[in-house]
Amino acid sequence: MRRPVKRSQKKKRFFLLMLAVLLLTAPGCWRGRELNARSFVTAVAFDLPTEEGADPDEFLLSIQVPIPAKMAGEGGDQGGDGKPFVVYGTTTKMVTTGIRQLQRQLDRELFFGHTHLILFNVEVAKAIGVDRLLDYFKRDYRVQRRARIAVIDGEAREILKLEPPISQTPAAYIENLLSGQSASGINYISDFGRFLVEQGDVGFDPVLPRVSKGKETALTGGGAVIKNGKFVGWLENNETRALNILLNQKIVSIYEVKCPLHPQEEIVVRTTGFGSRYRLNNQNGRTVMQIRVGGQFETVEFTDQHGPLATIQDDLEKTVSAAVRAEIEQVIQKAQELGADILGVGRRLQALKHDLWQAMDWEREFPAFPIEVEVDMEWTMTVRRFGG
Amino acid sequence: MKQEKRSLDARQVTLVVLGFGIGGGILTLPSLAAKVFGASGWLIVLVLGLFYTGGAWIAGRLAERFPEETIIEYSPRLLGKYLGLLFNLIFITSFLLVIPIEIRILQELVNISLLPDAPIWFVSGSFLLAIAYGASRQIDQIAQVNELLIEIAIIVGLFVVLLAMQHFEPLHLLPFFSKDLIHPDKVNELVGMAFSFASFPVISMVVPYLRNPRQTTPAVVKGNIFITLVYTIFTLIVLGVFGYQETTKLSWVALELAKSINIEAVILERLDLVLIVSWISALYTTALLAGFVVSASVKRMFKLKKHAYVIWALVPLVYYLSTIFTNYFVWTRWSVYVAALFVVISVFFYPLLYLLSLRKGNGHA
Amino acid sequence: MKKKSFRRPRSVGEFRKDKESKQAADKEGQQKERPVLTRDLAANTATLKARIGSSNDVVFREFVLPLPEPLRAIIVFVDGLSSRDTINDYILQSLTTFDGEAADWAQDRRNLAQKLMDHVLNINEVMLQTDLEQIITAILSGETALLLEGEDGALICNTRGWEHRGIEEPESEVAVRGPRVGFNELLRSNTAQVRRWIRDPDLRVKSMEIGVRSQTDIALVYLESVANPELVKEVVQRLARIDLDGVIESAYLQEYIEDRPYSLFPTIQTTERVDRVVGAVLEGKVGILVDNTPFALIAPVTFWELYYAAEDYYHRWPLTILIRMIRLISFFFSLYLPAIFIALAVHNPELIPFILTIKVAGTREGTPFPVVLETLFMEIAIEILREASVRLPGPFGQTIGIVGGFILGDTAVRAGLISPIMTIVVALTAICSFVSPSFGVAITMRILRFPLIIIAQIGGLYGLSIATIFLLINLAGIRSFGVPFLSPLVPLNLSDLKDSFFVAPRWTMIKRPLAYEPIDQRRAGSKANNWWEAAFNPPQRRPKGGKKKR
Repeated sequence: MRRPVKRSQKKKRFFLLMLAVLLLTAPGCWRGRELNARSFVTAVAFDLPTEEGADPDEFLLSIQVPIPAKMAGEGGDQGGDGKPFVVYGTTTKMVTTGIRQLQRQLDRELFFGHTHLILFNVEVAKAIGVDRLLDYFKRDYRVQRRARIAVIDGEAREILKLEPPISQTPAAYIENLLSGQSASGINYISDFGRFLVEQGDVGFDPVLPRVSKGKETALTGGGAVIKNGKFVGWLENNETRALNILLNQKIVSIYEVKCPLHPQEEIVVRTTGFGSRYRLNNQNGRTVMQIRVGGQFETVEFTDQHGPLATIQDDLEKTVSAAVRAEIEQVIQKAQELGADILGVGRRLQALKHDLWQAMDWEREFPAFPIEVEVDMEWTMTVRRFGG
Repeated sequence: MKQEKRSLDARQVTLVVLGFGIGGGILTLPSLAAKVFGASGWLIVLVLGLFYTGGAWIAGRLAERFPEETIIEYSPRLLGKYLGLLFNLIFITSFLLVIPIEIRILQELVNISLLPDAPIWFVSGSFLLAIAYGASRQIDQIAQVNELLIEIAIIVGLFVVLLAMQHFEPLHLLPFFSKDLIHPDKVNELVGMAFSFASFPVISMVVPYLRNPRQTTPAVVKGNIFITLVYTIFTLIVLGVFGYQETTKLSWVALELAKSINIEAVILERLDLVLIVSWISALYTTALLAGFVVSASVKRMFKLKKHAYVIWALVPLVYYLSTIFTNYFVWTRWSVYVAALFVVISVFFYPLLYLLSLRKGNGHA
Repeated sequence: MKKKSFRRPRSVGEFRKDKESKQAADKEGQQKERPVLTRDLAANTATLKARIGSSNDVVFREFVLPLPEPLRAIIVFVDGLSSRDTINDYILQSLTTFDGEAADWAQDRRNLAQKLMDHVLNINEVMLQTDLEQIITAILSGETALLLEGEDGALICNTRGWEHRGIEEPESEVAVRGPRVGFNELLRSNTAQVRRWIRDPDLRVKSMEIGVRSQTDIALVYLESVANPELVKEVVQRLARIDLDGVIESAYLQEYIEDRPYSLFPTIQTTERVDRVVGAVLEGKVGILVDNTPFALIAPVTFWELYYAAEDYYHRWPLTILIRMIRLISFFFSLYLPAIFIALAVHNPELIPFILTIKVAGTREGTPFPVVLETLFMEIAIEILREASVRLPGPFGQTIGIVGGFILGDTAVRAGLISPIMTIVVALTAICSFVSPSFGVAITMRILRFPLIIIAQIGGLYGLSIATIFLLINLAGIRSFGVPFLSPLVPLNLSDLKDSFFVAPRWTMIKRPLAYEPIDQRRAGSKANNWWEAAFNPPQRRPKGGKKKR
């Protein structure tokens, strides 16, 4: 006997069908969204609040969001009137609350998966601290560990609003500036992941790259020393370069030294192939950190008429070594003044002489810890021209 | 009962041991090792691994003495009726509890990275369905699936881990043996590490399907050695990249490791998601094999016709158990319990069974 | 009593009862009256005419044999199936012009049929048949039946000959390099082709007839000293079990004998090329040739072999590696590309490189549909286009391709209905799905793509992982005539891997694929013991000292 399909069964089937159709036409399930329903945050900036009478704990959170239609379609004929991005800001005490406040202005969900740049104003870094502000980004899974972090001596928000010379977002522009592409050695190359690892390291204090705003562009160079999550001092360009040498970052840089034969003239040398070796030695009952730096250079420019000569080799090498050494000692002195162990001396002590480390209070010991430096530069001749 | 065909070869058995062993345990292993042994945590992993390899040898020899039967059938004979029943119950329970823990780990993993806010009934439910579907198949099918999936998981995993060497800092591995970093009193953590190692009991259920049962022991020992190697390398690299202090703070170590890799490759910017996809297969093989062991054991204990009935009947129970583990702390605690059960089985019962089998003479040659 | 009406579906029990009673009646009927040939020619002729004479193409030709006492005889044949020339020249001629007076065997009338066979009929194949059903089948197969007065049997002469296609290159499997021969619809010609390649006395051609009404000839081709006898037995058993009305194409057989009738994946290979069947037979497989269709079946087969083409074996190995890699990649793409794209775009955009994300988002501004619906619409449109271009004859088919694909797609993008990125993705997927050499698997991939797209929308990458796991479990469980479907990858067989995605030079393939468990594992002719030994001795080495032999 054929069973007719009962009405309730028909209703069930219809309902299931509608459910299936709904599942398909809904723009996504759970937290899935269409690409156009998200707004990608490419850069985040932290500044001091602009309002009067603001809480000392508060800060100004700004985000930069690109406009996809302007960035995608017509590449050449930019109207000129619209920038391809927008900057929003809000004052808040906690980053999460700030994001919620910003979300109220936007119809698309803020998405931090493509955040490439996180900028801190130096005052905020000093007062509230970099580590505390990064806490949200540490826990959000979507944030990339390759995002670049920098400390700005000026308004971080201004950097976000910069229109870079070649049409791209400022985030990409600064990101390229902060990556190793300029290779002049005066930048401290770091990113979010490296910062977290250095932060978590025992006996090591991290450094963040420094960015300042020029007239139309941004200038990189130098570093910001972060101790206990807060900013404690700047490193100048040459100090950063010396730090890079000490930390065995492969850098290529130039030095201007006086010509050994004619003290008024100058020779420009190009240094490469730096390597630093550390050793902990016992001298008169005290532990001393001895750093041996070796490197190579070639002569690039002469104000003199004579060009490279075999006779000046020894003197030139000594001169260049002295120049490098002076910078290195300068950065060591700065580090000890600031009380921040950016060289990793403490880390080595902890690893190699653990008992000694346990007995010490590194906070107090580091500023007075004896560190000796020896620099040995070699003139590897890739000479193209003798004479002037 | 129809005699099931012998269809597995030694290589598949090694991969079965590997597949069951490498799963969710790898997640907590480095942080536990760092808590117990400081910067040389990898050393304790190695030692534990070798210790368990010895246990694997014993299990293999025991299994070879009874090539026609599984441990469920000969343990009452060797241990006596009540003790044997107790052992069987412990055996089945420990394998059964592995499944909801793996499901829970998967749920959290997926919620963190792939599908935030996806409900439990979707993620855990579909995973459980996949496990039940797979575990209801015959052993040769299961072995084939396991072979494919675990090879993918290991190759991708090792690839990612080796790439992470770019941040490897040998200083992080020192001090080597400093007294204040070693805490042998942390028994909880030590036992918890056993969760990742207890993979050889699988062999006792799989021997009747081997083509050549004489190859059991070398296969199991090979599998365990490989697991030890993988774990040691992994722990070594994690400790080298993060340092032991940061390692104790990280909850999802492998993911953080993958996230820290810097490749300027345009397509694969995020290796951690690649790692997750391969990790899903590792979790799946562990749960699949555990499911098979449970259903085959119950089937043999109660002389049922098909083990598929058992696993489908257990689905609601397993689902309920997986919902009990509400957060990270709860399921890590339960993994310690399960690990304790496995320790009891492998350290106490297996050698006892082996000695008894030697004394009572050959079972079946 | 329930009223019977033809519209009401019947229950299984009723159906069975009906069938059983019908079978019993048939048996009775058969036992009661089985028409039999008698010694009376007129009666035999009447019986034959009653059975097959109503069709006008059955010819009954009477004549008289020139024996001392003239004897009436009749030949029966089907016009169109029998070769008129053969009948004229070799049957009628010989039977009407032999010298009956002079022959001394003609004096005695006993065993006349045998004597005629021995002395008169100069046709190549003759036999004496007494069963009426067999005689009728023979007539309907194109043979000629000779009935004599006084004989209760008939002489069946092989006079088959009809219009058929010649040997042509198969259109469905074109190769750049290789023999341009394919099977045609003539079974005898097909088996002859196989014999031309393999001149081994161990090559067996085993005939069967399948189909109650069609009595189609099937030939199994295998090497007796190589193919596993269990395999051959299994194939024969499965074919013998077939109870079918008529076999029109080999696909009918395929559906009856394959391992998993409900699975999406084919477990038997079909091919039109002779060299593929020959290669398979040499590896220890069984080839099944079916009359009236050029498509032969090869059993067993593994999943990867469905992706090999014949000409892989005719190029040098570096090219083959590249081509197989490309096929593997396109197999993966044709299945997963739209699904992965949707999963990433909807759930995990952080995986897509930033510039690409922005570009995709930018070009999708203002499109009305979500990604998944766009993809589904376009996929369905491509399927429709594909089907339409197959139906339309000749030049129209190409026009539809251009009109539909290009113009429609382009216009839709310009109108802002669909985004260009999805068009690229879907088009690339379609192209990738054409790369598969085996049509059966290509269809499977096309079908599987749709659920994967939906799963990607709902579950993202996680859903795709679970779906892949389900797929793998299914694939792992399939066995094609006892051979695991995913060999040689799983279970791993290093020797067989030489002919999978990584191809080794031919001189290293000294063993046949072990997955098929051939009796004779070594291919003849190699002196090395292992393939890696063989790898170190490529064939062109000159012997030490001594000149190159001519």
